[in-house]
Amino acid sequence: MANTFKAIATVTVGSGGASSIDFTSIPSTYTDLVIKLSGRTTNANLQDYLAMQFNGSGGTAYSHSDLTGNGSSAQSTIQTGLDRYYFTYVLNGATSTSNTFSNVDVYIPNYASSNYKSISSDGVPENNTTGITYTTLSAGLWSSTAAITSINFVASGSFVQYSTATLYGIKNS
Amino acid sequence: MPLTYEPIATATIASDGQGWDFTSIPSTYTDLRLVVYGRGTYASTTFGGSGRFNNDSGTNYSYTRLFSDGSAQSQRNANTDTFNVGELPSANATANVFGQAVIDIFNYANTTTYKTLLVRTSTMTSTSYTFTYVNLWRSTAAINRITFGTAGLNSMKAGSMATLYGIKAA
Repeated sequence: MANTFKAIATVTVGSGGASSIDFTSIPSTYTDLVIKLSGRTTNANLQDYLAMQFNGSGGTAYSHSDLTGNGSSAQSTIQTGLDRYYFTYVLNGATSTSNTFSNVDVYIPNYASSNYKSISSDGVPENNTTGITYTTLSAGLWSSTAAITSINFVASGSFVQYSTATLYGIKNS
Repeated sequence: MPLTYEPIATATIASDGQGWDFTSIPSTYTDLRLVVYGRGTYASTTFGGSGRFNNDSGTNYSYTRLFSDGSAQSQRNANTDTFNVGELPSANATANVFGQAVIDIFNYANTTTYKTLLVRTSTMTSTSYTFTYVNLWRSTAAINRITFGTAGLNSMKAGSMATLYGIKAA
């Protein structure tokens, strides 16, 4: 029986940093996609956002619903009509504890179908300092019937060296 | 390296109104993962997804959930007759919108302990939800069958898809 959790591509940011992380030419031969990202940016704050866009397509087709804990309370946020899928406060910024990189986990089922694309993501930029940190669980939607063939990640700052992301393909047979 | 993440069975709903029934689940894995990509047929914007193990319809299930629907909430429910995963899009949701639920079932084949499962569900339509659940099935039986759907454990829209994966520790 086939092993179905396969690495399609990995990006590791080099010494010069990177303004984006990109996966291109994604084959349509899998059932679902999983992305595991470890990241930190040059943004001069404790946290930075992460934004994901498919196929270079912006417009207003992205929406998300977040459940966020900040160490003292839980909050819910819904945003619609966006040009990207925004992960709020999921990356460590430049003023967070040195050597600390966040974890982001994304699940996209049936990415090659002609239905709209469902997105689930979890993100954590723990910091071990005073100041607010967050854990965020999100649901999202890309209202497009196009198969996902490329994925672009950007943030407010640039990704620093050693930030990594791996795209996995999950096959159901 | 052993193959640790393998599809056991997959099924796509062929006709509106059906559900899933995975039978004869082998006991040779360590954990199970059920991935549901689904939309219901009940006449509402969303409807709760639920399931049973080994066709057990007794009140042997319970859950605690943390979720977001515009406000952050936590709830629990004891002595239910199904396990629960939260709301999935249903017949009145925006066209082409399907939700997802990833259900992890740990140590499913042991015959000593009750079974715990973690669930992560995402539904984004005119009413939107982010769920994380812990469910408990109070049975020491090995899990050899999983049924799942929305209303009445069926009521899924054609094109909904579910895959059961086996995860092996070694």
